[in-house]
Amino acid sequence: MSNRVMSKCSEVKRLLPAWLDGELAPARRDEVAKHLAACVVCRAEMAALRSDRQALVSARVPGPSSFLLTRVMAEVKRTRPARIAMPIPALRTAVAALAVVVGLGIGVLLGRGLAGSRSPSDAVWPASYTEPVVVDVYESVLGGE
Amino acid sequence: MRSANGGRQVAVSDPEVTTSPASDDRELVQQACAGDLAAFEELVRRHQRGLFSYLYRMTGNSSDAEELAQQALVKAWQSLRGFRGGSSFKTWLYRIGINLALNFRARTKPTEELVESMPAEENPAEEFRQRQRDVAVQAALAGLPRDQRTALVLSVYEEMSYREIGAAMGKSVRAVDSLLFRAKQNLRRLLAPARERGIV
Repeated sequence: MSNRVMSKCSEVKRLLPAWLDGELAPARRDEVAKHLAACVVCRAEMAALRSDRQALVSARVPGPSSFLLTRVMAEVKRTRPARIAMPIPALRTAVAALAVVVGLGIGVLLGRGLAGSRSPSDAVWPASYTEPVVVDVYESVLGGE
Repeated sequence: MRSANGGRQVAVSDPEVTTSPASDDRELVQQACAGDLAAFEELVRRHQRGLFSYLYRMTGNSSDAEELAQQALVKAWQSLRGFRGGSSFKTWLYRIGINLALNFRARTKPTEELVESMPAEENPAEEFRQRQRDVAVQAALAGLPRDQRTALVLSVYEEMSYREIGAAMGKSVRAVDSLLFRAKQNLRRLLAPARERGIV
């Protein structure tokens, strides 16, 4: 077998799975078919691929139980589709930006409102109120040394 | 087809149930988005078998496959309004199933449950041979890396084109071609012992 034929064989072997799956472009498909007509080695490879596929489809697979549909629909009735999609991505971006602006605005307004009010130290505490004892965390963890 | 096997239906394929024109699906999706539960139920009826079958091939047992199929279908309902129609509903649904299967950690050994859940052939000798075949094929599939197994199962059992497989797996057609080439090479090696024993 010449080098040219050998390289053609390795090329065809690489293409054979896609050829069998009907995924090659027409020109390539014809080229492979022509080669197969003349090459016994590649024909054997094609037969082996077909045999492997046959082995796969010969194995049984169970179907779903009759309860799958019932369970899915019971769950579906309890929930709604999660969100209403906005068809235009730009619109989604605009809505998100608007939400951020509104959020910031509310934050600023709240901040101003708080600045105008009395500080906690101005508050009138009940007579029984005593200042909490602040424990030094490091001290308690390290044993006060 | 019904069996006396826990209400499970067994068939290699059932074109009446698994095939559905994509355009019809699209109409059903629109109706379901508008709140029509019957339309969504019809979508479930059409795709549950194919989805289950794919998940069975990925997990190796029917209870895990059924649980994942349920999760995928409910998730599809919950995010139905996010379905843009860029691919078919089937491809979109399988994408959900694929993600669930990829993140799934098997609780039982893949071939353990096969013996219990398959229906019996009338001829005991043939039933024995068929069970050996079922187990050998499932074991060979389980021996493939997950992405190769996914591509192979979608190609052989779901008869998806490379483009559809790519859309479902989030990969290019070239990547799918490469995955399938390697999957088939590995499958040959993995099936060899069963072939030598005349099982497949």
